Amino acid sequence: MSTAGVAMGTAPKLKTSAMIASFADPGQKTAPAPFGHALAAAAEADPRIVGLTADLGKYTDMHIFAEAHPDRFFQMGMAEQLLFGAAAGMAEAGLVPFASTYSVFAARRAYDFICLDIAEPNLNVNIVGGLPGLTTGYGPSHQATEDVAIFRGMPNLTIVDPCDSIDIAQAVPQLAASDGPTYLRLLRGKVPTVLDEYDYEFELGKAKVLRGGNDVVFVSSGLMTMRALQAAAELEKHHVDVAVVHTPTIKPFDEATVLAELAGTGSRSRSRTTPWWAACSRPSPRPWSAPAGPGVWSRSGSRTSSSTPARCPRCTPSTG
Amino acid sequence: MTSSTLEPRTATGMAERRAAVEAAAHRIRRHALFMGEVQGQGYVGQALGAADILATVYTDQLRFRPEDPEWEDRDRFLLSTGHYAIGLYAALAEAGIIPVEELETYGSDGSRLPMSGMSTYTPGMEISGGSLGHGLTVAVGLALGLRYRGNAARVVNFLSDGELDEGSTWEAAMGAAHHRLGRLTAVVDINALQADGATAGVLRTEPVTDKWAACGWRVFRVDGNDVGALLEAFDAAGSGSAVTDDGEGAPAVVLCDTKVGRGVPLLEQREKAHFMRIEEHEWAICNEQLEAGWAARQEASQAKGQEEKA
Repeated sequence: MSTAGVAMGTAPKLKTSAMIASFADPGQKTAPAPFGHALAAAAEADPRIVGLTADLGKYTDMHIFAEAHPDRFFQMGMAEQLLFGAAAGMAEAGLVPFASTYSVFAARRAYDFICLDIAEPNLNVNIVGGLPGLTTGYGPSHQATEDVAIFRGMPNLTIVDPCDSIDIAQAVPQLAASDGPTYLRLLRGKVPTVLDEYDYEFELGKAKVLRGGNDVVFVSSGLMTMRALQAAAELEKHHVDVAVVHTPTIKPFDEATVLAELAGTGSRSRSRTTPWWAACSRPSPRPWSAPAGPGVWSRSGSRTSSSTPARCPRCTPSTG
Repeated sequence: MTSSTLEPRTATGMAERRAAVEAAAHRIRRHALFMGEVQGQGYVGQALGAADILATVYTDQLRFRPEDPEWEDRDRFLLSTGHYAIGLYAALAEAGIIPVEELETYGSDGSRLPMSGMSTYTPGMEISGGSLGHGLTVAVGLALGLRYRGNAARVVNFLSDGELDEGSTWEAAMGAAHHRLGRLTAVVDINALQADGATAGVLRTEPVTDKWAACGWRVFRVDGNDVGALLEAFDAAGSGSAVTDDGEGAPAVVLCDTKVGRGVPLLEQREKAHFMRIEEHEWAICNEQLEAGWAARQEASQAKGQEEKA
């Protein structure tokens, strides 16, 4: 495609994914800034809740909370180490902080502060990470391709990977109420609303079967659950009966619910897929230790072939 | 309040306060030498150097309840430099927060007194230090949180001059000034020494006074082994017209120039080292020198007192 062609308008218009704040499909039902609204609402009921950010309030939907509760919002500047150290201090003072930045800056830049000051003493600090995984086109500086791999090794930390606005809205008060630190992989801006179509409620630590199916089981978290549901609907047209298990809490992992679904009553061999990140980096065997790894699974739990889930393009290909 | 060590300071004269702190500092030094000897190692040089600061803070400045280390209204002392825990354990024993007998477990497996301070192990240890540059960031949040909750407790963060290498210290310095945390006091032990040698040669931090002032702090620089000077600086840092009743005001830093091994000439004169080696036969010499120096100072002080009376 020539530059001249683009300039003349004769070539197809170039696209950018760099500034995309929402990944909703055209016409899809969405909710604006569900995290900010949920935190503002939770703060009405829980006077311990405070919000902090490191110069990314507007980009993590924290600004909604700041507008609703200006006296409970603390701007820490572009200083992520201070952000999380200070969040620890506020928790030590009896408050329940939600501290937001981008996932990369939490996971990569401030790891030592989250680990030593928050996780090791098991404080109720809630880390809110925007742009998790590949939800930005800004490249490696902003793409948190390893956030889950990094945080899975952290003691006491609960990791929540919500699918949609329903998940986020329901998770926030539960994160505040639970003891110990949490990491929320934030979906920001106009966030799709998907799970209202299902008999679903977010329950911290629990996986939920969104739809049953005899042939295949998809196990997914985060925005990939939305894709898994779409894929299941497509496969249904081809007479493939797919179950979808949504696992919004990915540490600790609800093995019991997943294993129960895998051991379901279908007559044919069943396969399972995993979230995109599972193939990227696995420093510890959990949560995918039993039954281990992505692949096609028979009812008895033995792997019959491997499947290759979508993965980070910078990672070495893995057979799972 | 049952047994806070700090009843109104104005009720006591400076001479009495100074005498009480100096006596406590001597006991802290004695405890530190004991812990080092039992373990055969430890950061004794740092503890001896910082003993006057620790004694000033715990004997004179902080409000706390020894029998209730979690008392909500206590002033908070945050030790950034985890390896100075030997000195803090000595101060906590002196303050009655941990039993003196427990000091002999310092650095041993299973002890509540690990060589690098851990908040989850030790009563009175507010944070886990050791990974340097953390303390002041936590102190900022603690001061913000306490102020938000209407708790007038003071927050004191002890850090070292080597720790000024860490960028996070300056993130926190700016944050504290921006949020006008008047009840926050940082104490920097400037012993001019860090792991790889003299601070001036590892990464030059001077002019330290100007740096803190430029960040918006009230700055006091004193001889950190002069108890009288420490008392005056801490009095000014913690109160005065610079801080409103709501705790708003510029934070304060007390920069303390100290001498590694202070009080034990053998160690004061030894080549400076972050982890000072003390041979087995030298512990007795250290103890003798510490007690001899203390006795001499007491004698001089009494003589001076009699002169003044006469």
